[in-house]
Amino acid sequence: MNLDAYGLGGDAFNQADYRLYTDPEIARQEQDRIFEGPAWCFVGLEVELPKAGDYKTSWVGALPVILVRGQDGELRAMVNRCTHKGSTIVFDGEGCAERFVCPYHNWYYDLEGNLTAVAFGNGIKGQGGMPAAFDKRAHGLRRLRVATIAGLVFVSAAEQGPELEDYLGTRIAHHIRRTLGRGLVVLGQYTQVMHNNWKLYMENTRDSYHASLLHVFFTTFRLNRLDMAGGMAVGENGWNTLSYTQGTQKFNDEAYADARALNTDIKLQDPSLVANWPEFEDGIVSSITSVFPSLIMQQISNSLAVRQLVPKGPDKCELVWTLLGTVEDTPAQTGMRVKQSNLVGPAGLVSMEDGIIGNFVQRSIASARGERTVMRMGGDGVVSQESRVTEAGVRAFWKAYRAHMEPA
Amino acid sequence: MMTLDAAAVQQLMLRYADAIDADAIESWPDFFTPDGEYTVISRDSLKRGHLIGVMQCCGQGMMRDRVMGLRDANVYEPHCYRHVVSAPLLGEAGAEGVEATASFLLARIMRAGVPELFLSGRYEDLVVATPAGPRFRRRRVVLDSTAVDTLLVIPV
Ligand code: FES
Ligand SMILES: [Fe+2]
Repeated sequence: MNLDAYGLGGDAFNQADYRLYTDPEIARQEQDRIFEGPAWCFVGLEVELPKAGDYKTSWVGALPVILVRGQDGELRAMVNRCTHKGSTIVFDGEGCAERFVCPYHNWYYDLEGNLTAVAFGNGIKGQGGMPAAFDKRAHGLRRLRVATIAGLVFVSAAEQGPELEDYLGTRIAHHIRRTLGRGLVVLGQYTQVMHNNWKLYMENTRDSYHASLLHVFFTTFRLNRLDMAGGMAVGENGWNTLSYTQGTQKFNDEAYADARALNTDIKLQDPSLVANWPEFEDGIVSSITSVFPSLIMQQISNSLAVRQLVPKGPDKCELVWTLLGTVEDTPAQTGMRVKQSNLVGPAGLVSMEDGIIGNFVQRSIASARGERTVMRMGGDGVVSQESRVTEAGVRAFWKAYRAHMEPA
Repeated sequence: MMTLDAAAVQQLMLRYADAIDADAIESWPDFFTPDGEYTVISRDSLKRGHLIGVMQCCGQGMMRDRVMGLRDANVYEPHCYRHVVSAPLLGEAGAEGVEATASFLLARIMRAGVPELFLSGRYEDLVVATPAGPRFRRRRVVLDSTAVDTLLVIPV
């Protein structure tokens, strides 16, 4: 499709027509070209499927999928839609199975998605049954490509496309390994329902400009401010981003003089909320990695989490949070991860605003006809920057968006 | 010191809900002992043995920090709650106190919105007698669903 009319022509990614967030036809095209196109979509963690036969269901955009570990130990992904009449096959979310049986008319599939048997396929007492020409081999479940990095599982619905590593970019892939490349333990999991287009949330996770302005809890307690050292790294293809903060703090209240009133007297009554330990040798104390179109990996102090973004129509999306620890954690370290988890999620002292800010946009743009956003903070480029006062990461989102919606 | 019979436990539960619904959230930590624990977690997470739910406060200090955040730092649309809490079921009375559970339905009302069922679940409490009256030593809010709509800022 041609995105010129939506402000996304040429080499600039500094504006976007509001109709991109509201038009059901755009949402349908996104399903075809992004979620079922060559993009790599995050669907879960290897630690959720430790042994042969373990399965869970997930979503690739609007496409329902089953993720399963085969008897050979390989992870496979297939569409969770019966080839007979389209029933959902796996409806209990997760479990361990030797095969999948559709509940409707009992068609049987093996863990590779092959149709192995059809109930009453030979009829009963010579009556009924499928015609002799019916070939089970032509009715297997549609398979998706699977790739993993540091325990994260991605799928791609297109038969061909870039390798996951190239798709992510060197710096992003390295940072994912650096953060999660250890024995992972799931410490918590919940879903946040948001009443906004999925793109508004994806942009938000790359928008280092808003962090200390919308999320005043951090600012108030001097936990993270834009005058701390940090930056925005963009992967080679310009699609995926890493926003990070270094440990050295140099507070500069003057820079915040025109921001909302800063109450510097407020102190935490219980500072153990943010007790932490230096976990990473690179000195990065906080980082948000955003992988187009569906993964956000978070390190906020020692709170580690991955978030899977699932669109639900043009004006709704769901965010599946998985909070993580590692097998090496001491009890004291686990305790710190638990306390710090109060900063994130739908009740997160730092991040709760992200649950509503997308809807603040969504509700006001329903009537927009041709107006466009402005994304020019930090210039118009899509390159890494040594500052977080930039919208370079947001522009990177739109670069990835156009590459998928309007391939060269 | 008063005894912890079902009536006393229910009064504590009802006053707690009434205070939150009346926007007297500053008094919320006072329903707990100083070292009281408050967690909000889904029944699914409990079944899986997760250590992290959507909210976990250890002690009144962390609760007061939440109240401070809600009043002075966090950005959200004005809204209020309406709790409906069942009569409590009392469990074992041990040396520590008495265990009690109750079901709840929680409506969330945005300023000009219709009341909507926001959360449902069960309180799992450990109630202790103190010189000031019964207090929660532990209050675990077990949510029926793993999903939370938009955000959760006012305690349940
Ligand atoms: S729909 Fe699956 S067996 Fe009929
Ligand atoms: Fe945010």
